[in-house]
Amino acid sequence: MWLINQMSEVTKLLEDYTNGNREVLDELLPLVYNELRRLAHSYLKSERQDLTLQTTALVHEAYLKLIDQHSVDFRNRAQFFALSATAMRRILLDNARRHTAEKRGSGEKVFLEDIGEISIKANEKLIELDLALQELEDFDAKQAKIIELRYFGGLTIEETAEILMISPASVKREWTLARAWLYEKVSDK
Amino acid sequence: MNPNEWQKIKEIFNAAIDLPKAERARFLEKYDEITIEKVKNLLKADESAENFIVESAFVDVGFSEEDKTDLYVGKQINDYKILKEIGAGGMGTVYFAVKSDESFDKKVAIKLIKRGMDTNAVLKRFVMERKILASLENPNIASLIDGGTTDDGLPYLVMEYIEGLPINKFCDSHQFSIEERLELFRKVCAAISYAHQNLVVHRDIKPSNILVTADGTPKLLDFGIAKRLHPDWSLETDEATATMFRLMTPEYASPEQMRGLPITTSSDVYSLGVVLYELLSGERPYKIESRLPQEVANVILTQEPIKPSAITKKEGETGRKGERETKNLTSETSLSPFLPFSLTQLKGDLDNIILKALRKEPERRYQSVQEFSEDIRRHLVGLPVTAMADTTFYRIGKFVKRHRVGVFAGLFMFLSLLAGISVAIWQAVEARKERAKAEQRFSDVRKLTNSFLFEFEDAIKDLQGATPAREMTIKKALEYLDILAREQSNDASLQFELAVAYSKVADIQGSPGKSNLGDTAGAIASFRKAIEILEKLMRIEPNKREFQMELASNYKSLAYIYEVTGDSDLTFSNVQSAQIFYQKLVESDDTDFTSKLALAECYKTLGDFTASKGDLENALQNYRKTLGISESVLQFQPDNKKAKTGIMAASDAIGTTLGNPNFTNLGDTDGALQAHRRQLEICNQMLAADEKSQYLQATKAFTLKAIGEVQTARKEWKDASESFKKSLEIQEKLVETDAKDAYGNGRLAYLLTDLGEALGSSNQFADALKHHDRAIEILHKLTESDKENSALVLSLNRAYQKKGDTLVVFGREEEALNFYHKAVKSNEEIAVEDVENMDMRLQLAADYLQIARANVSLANKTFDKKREFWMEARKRFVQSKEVFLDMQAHNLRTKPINDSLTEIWQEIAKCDDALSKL
Repeated sequence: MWLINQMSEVTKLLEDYTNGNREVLDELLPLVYNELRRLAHSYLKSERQDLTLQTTALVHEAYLKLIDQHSVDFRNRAQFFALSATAMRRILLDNARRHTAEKRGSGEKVFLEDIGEISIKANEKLIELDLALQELEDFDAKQAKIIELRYFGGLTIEETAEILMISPASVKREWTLARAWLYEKVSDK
Repeated sequence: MNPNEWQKIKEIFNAAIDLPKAERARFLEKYDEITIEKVKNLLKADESAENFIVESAFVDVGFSEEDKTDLYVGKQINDYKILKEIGAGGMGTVYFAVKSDESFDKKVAIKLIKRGMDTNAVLKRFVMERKILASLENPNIASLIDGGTTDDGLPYLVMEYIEGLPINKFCDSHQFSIEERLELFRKVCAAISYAHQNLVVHRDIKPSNILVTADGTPKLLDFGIAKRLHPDWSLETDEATATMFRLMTPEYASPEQMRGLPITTSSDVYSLGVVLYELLSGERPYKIESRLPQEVANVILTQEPIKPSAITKKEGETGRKGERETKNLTSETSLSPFLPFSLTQLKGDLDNIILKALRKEPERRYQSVQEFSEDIRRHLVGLPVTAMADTTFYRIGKFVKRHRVGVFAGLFMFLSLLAGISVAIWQAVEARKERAKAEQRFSDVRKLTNSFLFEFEDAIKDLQGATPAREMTIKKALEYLDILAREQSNDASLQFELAVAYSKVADIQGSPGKSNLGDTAGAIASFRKAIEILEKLMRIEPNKREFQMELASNYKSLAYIYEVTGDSDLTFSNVQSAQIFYQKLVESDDTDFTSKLALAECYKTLGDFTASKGDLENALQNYRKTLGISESVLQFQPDNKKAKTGIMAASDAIGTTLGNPNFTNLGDTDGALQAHRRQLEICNQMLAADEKSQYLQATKAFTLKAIGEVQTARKEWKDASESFKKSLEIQEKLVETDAKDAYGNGRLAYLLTDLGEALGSSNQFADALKHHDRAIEILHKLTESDKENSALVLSLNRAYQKKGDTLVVFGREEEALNFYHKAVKSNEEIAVEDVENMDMRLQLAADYLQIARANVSLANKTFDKKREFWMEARKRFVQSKEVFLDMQAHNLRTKPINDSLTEIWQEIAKCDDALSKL
């Protein structure tokens, strides 16, 4: 299997998506997902030191890789970052589920990963957080989106504001409350 | 938490957090205890959450390498034990497994979707593969044994496990001679041909998908991107072309696949040609130096393959591929080490056969795999083959291209069947010598063609039994036009004429709403040809109105065909193109009312499309444009019927979108009523001039019904009853004139249901039930005779539900539940099949809600079964909530849905409250 002309295809799909054709999401998400996962792996191998910037860098790099910069407008860019956040959420949760499942499946087997200390606990927490986030989605979808963009997509307050077309100040406000609610929710347990 | 409550907490929290900590407690005092508690907790959480989710998730959790040991290896999937991975693609993994419940082990291959790749598109393709495999039973195609879903919900296919080598490796390791290779290849052809006869195109033929077992039987594998053809043997329909474009293996892909054009069986002929090329020469047809997609595509699209017999090998690498592209080739696709024969033996027939299969233009290849295989057979037994080197005809063709005028003369001869092609060509040569004479003849031909296509066709089209004659006319004209179009003439006016002719031909072939030959695929192809020519012309003269107009109209017609065949994405893209050109036309000439109204129509279609995607606001904007344009035209031309029709259509759509309770709507019933009243006004005006028009009568009935429905939403039951009665009066008459008209009867029944509901709600119980029962009876009969018609089934379910509603009004909840359950059962079934249908979802949510409400009433009435009823009510409220939430997840965030959700949350709380007190 070989990806031909992937860049212009993703660009085209993204345009369709931005123009309201929600069906192409099924085509688009796996492509973004794969690219992000591939990049994530290569990051792990190379520059392990500088983790903080990685999510943002990952998403930006995927963007450069997948999207034809000449034929894309601002709205597509925003959509792409939003999509990437969703894809990152899926990647990390798939990863987390795999690890927690392995733990249960294989008794006391400890996985020492090259990233250093992979804590199964962290993965379990992530799954919990995801569940709480799903609950939040039910009554405040915007807040949930803000969390997804910032926490999973690694976007800044300003970028998040741009994508949701609201002011940075309100992103900050919503973020504060949503975070408090999530914290309360997951630390309850 | 419910959204309203949350909103309140949010406001208080935001106000409190801006205050100094010391003042917060005092600020909160004025609220109720529960709220204070919640906000306080959140404020406290905010303080402790300082380091919570500050880093991104990627940093928090880290990310591990994909495990080398696959999760499934060693595990059991139902009856099968997975032993090892034998292949992986982008979407799925193939495992070797055994079924060991019997006395012996049965070896199988299991194909499983990769985790994380189980999107709808991938799942659909998987289902398609399963269907295709199930329909193919051939000893040379790996068969489907079983299929199912793993415990964690991933679908899988179980297939015959083939122990064998890719065809090229097999031939090399057995040192097969040319003849043996050809014989084996013909078996592969037979398998592909079998698939084609079953309307399946493989689309990914390559050596690694053709395994040969130890006893020499070839087996075709991997129908993962195969495609079912329509019976007309052409044209992609449902699937995005982009998908297959991405999935194929480029070395074996045909030029049309590279371009993302429709795929036919001819593409498989091409891929087989590449396989044969490789089998006989050990090389691939193209020298591809680069791995860059654009360059690979460019080579395949433009480079002519070298004759297999003319390949020159470097010393010591007989048949071996050089260094240049081994890097990306896995061992199974790498090329043969050496061949036991000399390539010069391929000279002649075999060169020609292979190159014929590899022609860039599908129509110049073998027309079927069978024909391809037959030519090989002829070669094997020493008969002359049909494949010729690109000589005589092709060269004449090229010559002819250079001397267009003469060719037309020749083609005229061909068309009129007066002489053979040789005479024509001779004449072409003559024409070159006698240019003046030829040009005279050229213009004659042109005139004659036009008269042939249009006047003659016009004259016979209404004659009974003229269809065969018309078909022949069209066919002959098309042959002629096809060749003309290929000439790529620079004569703009001739090209324009051709485009118009194609579009006319398309109309005759299959434009919906006009008398036609019912050849939809043909019509689509002809419209596309017209568009192709026009777009070329537009590049030269982008502002010529004539071109713009014709182009816009072609796009619009094409969109209409797709609308009728139910392909909404293609409808959308074509209507969007039409809209762009009509917009230009209108902008440059404000008095071009025809284009204005066409533009209005485009907006209506765009609105319908966006509405079907759940984006009601956007749909409304489009409908308002339709209305605005139509109204403005009517101002200038008060008698323009099309403008009036436009107003009616737009008003109807606006009314429905704003506030028809039977559809997802925006909850603005004032606006809805206003729109429908305008619709009625225009309809009455038109009826005054044309009383007998069935169409207008039906529109009036329909409009009155819509008004009644909006009144229902406003709970103005008396007014609604009146509107429905007026509508019913007209509808009954319409049905009388054609008692068998299923559509009219369906409408009648729908109306009876509406009226029943309105009467019931205004306390006329007996009358209401009478109407409900009649509706149910009619719909029963209709669904019996047309079980596939989901619209009728939905109407019947609605009739059940509304009868239930009326029964509830009169306190007969137990009876009502019977009807609700009937409706809900059937709707649930449809919901599973049609996940995108939001109006059906709405109905289902309403079913659950009504059942819940009936149970609440019952709980309040009874003494001993309170618990059961409250439990059932709660369950149903939750189900209803789920459906509404699901609709919101599909971006339907309308006021009615929000209101319903708020109500449901309150009701669930009431249930909980009641249950806790029991």
